[in-house]
Amino acid sequence: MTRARLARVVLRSAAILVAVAAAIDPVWTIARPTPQSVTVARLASSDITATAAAVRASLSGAELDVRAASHGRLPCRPGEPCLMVADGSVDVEIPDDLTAPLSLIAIAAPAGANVAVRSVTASLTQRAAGSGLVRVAMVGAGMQGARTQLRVTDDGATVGSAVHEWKTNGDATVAVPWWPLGDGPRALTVAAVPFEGEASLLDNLVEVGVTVSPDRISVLVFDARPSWASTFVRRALEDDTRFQVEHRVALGPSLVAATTGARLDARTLDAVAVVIVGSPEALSSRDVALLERFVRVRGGTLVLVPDRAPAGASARLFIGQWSEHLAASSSPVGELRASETLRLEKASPFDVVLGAVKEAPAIVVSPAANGRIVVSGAMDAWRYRDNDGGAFGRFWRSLVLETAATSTALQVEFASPIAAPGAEVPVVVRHLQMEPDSESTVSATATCGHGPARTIRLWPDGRAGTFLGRLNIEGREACQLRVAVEGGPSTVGGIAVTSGAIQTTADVMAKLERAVARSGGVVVPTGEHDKLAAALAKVSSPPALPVAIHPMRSPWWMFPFVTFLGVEWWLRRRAGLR
Amino acid sequence: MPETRITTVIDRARARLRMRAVLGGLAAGGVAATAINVTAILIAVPTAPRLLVSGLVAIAVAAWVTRASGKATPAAAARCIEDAVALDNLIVTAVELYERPQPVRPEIRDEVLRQADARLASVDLSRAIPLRQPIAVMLAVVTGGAAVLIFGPVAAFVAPIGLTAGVEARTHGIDGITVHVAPPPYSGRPAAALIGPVQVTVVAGSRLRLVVASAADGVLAALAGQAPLTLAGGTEGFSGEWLAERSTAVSIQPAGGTGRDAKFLSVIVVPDAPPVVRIPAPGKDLAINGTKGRVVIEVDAQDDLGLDALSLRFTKASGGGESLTFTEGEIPLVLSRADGRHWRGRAEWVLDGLDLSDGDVLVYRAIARDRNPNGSPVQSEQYLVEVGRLSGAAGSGFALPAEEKKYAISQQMVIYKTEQLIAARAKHSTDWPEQNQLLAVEQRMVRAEVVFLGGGEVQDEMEEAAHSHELAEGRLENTGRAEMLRAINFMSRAEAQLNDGKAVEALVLEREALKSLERAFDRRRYFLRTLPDRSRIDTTRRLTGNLKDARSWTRGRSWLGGSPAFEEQRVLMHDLAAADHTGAGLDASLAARIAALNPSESSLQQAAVALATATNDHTRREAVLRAMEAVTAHALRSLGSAESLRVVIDPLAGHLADEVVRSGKARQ
Repeated sequence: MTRARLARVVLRSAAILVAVAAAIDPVWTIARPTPQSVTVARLASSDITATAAAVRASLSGAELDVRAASHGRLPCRPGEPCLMVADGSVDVEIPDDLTAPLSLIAIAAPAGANVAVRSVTASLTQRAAGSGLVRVAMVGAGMQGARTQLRVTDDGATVGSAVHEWKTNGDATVAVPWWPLGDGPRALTVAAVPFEGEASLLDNLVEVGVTVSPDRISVLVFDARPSWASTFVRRALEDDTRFQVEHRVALGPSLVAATTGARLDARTLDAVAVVIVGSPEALSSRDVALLERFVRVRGGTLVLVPDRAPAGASARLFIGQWSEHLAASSSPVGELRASETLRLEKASPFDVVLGAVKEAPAIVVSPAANGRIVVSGAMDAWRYRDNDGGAFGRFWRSLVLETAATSTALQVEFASPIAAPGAEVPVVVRHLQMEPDSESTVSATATCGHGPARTIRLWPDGRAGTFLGRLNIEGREACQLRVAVEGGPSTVGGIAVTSGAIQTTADVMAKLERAVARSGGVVVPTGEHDKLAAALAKVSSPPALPVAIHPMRSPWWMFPFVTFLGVEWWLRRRAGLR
Repeated sequence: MPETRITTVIDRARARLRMRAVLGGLAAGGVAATAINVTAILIAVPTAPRLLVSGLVAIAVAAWVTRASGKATPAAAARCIEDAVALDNLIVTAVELYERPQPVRPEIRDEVLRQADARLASVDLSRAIPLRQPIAVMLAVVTGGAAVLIFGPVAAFVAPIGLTAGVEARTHGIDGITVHVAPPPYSGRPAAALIGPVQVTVVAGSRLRLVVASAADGVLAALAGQAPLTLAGGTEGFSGEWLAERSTAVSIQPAGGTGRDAKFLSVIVVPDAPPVVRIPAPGKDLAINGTKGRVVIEVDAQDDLGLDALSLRFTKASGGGESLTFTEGEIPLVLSRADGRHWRGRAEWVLDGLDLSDGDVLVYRAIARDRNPNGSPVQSEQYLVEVGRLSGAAGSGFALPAEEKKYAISQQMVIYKTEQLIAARAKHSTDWPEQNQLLAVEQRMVRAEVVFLGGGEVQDEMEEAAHSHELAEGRLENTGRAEMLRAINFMSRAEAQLNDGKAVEALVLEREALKSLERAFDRRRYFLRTLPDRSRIDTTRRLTGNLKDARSWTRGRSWLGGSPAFEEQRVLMHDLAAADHTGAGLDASLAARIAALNPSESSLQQAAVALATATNDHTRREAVLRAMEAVTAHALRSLGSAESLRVVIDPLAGHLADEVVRSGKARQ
């Protein structure tokens, strides 16, 4: 056999082999590991393409599925590794059913001068006839000597503003006064006005919810004998439309001066939020027992305004050891001034001290069972009220406003004063009574925007007079909840609704980091993606799956098949064969 | 010869063609200019740019149309003649042969020219190429354009009125505002006429005359916080006047118009400030050792508008006790007037002729009056001249009369004795309480004398002290009494401390009592003090009431309802927010409402002016933001203060505290 003939035979055989193998279509099975699939949740306002590419490079072999947040939820399913890329500008709800660890790439704010709003707090219940205060905590970088304007807007109208001058970089808290444009739930936008060249604008703005109530706080001022101390406190409240002040003073054994219906009895104490007592040493045992029940059972706020040392039956209302001190000159007691003071020997860890003289507590809020007792040891503070720039009136109005929030007869409290559309918000209704064991029927009706009224089911809680419910936020307008006790008080609570940022970027990042910590994942800054590989490796790799392989099904076999036949044909023709 | 005729006719035809093209161009240019003028007038473009643009466009269009009409060549002229008169292309052929010689036999050429010449003899060029129509069109266009130029601006506004029966005439805007200011005569300021102002500042009492030019049937002028101003029609427009006594905002609106048609005027009224008068020299109290002497007194007085009078008056207090007598007098003053608003005076007061006695007191003060006839005279601070040996060290400017000094000295003595007692405490270990009580007796004696000096018994020290701040504020018109009461109060408390054996604590109170006594016995207060009857305690009424008349009483509940002004502020803020969002309603009436919140508040006035004068979107937005901030600041001032305290108590803290107390762990 010549070499040429041998070559032809080999080529022809090879072609025949390919054809036969193709006809047979052999198959075999191997166990191949499944490539890792990672869901990348885009929780940032900026483009994350570069970050995703870097992650893909560091997780060789992994398949990345980049998804944006959907309906305010984290776009990750149970069991799949989830990597969040976040800068704090997108807040999401973390599902409870995630089983795989979460990891987070925290996109840091660009370097440069920047002001970031860290937190905003406002009184949950704001009275319509008064101004409010929004406390804004900021952190400034590269801001020394610069000024930042803070603006509070309600429905596009600027309802408050303040300017902060940065003496040093770092943290700063600014109180911004504002005024309500309307009643009901309001979504206030609090913003640090951006300046030219600011590094990041994502952290300048946040929305807070406030419920503006047109109701007046019911206060009873009771003097067992005429007292200057309580008289001037009463006058400070009477001049303010936020308070409805009832007053009763005993002038003599059978002489009283009082507003209509002002009595120290269970019915009155059921209705009022705060009771202010002047000259408490003149209270009878019956009065003291009633007031004690008002505090401990009803959960009310009792303010004692003595002008001499505790004595008589009322001494037991003074929690702790109080002693009288007379000084020749006045000295500051918290926001007040006084020369005659009652001082508490030692405050308990539960007491809130609002004023002290030489470190001795003098104005103290002491919690007692369901309520609280406030003792004003600044006995002659009323003497200095005209030389304090109005601090006396401000202090007493502020104290009553603050303490009344938790001692009003009927309270509606949402888990959050502001929510996103579609959210379900828990609500607590509290009905405070002198006789809490008595039966009461409470009904609640919710109205969102101009939508129809819906009845909300309230369930009794373990505590007497406490009911729980859930409100579904329908639409994008604020919701109001009308609660009424049959034969008793009624009130309206509200929750603001917004699609904007209701948490600061810092809060969002902290929330995501907590979720990561809970799930066992890692938080890495941008650029340190290598650490992710180890974290994602912790996720149990999917089992290797059997894979059927059909080698002859590739179309590429046509190429050698045709080549073999073509060369064989060419060799034959060259040799002069057919 | 034939060629000459043909050439002549063709040349005439070409001239007519050129004329027709020019006329067409002029007509087209006129049409274009007229169209531009009409459009510009309707959108109220100023005259100069309107004429410039329309002129340029007219020239361009005329040139283009003329050029586009084609060249007036001999061939074109021939074609025009052929079009008008059917000559079977004879003229065209003749012109062709004439213009471009062809290789044609001479006899044929001559025959063509001959026939053409013969035919042209009967051709009427005015028919072949008519010019009447183009001339008429051109004249019509030019006449129409001129009419638009002359009457257009007027016709554009007047024409719609009355064209359609039964349709109301459209509302007219405010074409102009003039404010004539006539300041009060005493101010010495000239009258002024301000044209188109947004804000005027005038002296209180000025008479303002508002003249409004408008084609409307009437004009309304609303003054914030005042009755509307009636504007009567006249030759110069609608006018009305008022006396400017306080700041206001004026919203001027044509009858039946909307806020967008309104104009805003802010009127800032500056009240006439009272004169400021002082005595720079000697500028202190004096004491002279004798009854004769000479005192040089200098007086300085200023006023914002002008002074009218400046005088120096004195009061002589002679005698003592029940026989105290007062004599009034005036000291001649030599005046030098730097200008009408700043005067200086100088007097050499010779005391020799005043018949002074030892112990007399002279009180002098300067009195200035400005030119405002309704103004009150203003008095300078008063100074004393004490006369005689009882006055103490001459020229020291401070000395207490002997009788009053006694009480201060007595209190000083109590202090001295208390200090001695404290220093010798070791020696008095056995009789310390007794020593303290002895001092308490002395303190009580001093207190009793001071109480007597104060005009009587102090019935209730606590109650008196409660009113001490009112005394200090001048409500009871006796500041010295407040210090007396404080001194008495301190003495009482010092006495109580001494009785308890607390000399150290008592010493602090004794010193405070001394300070109050010294302040109470300030001689100016002592000599000029009057004790009003209503602050005296009527001891005769003590224990005279009938217990049976005592009754309980019911206090009326003060009702503090919602303020309409507060609601207006809320509405205004909503309107501002809407204006910021959509730009709607951003007009002079909105500015007037802002200023009307408080016409005397400068921030509101400035915000309103900024809003009324904003010219573009950026300034409008800035003005709206500024206005919202101004309204917010205004609202915050009128509202109840925000919570200054934060009391955060855990709901379970009370139960936890109780439990801790119960288990005995509390307060260890």
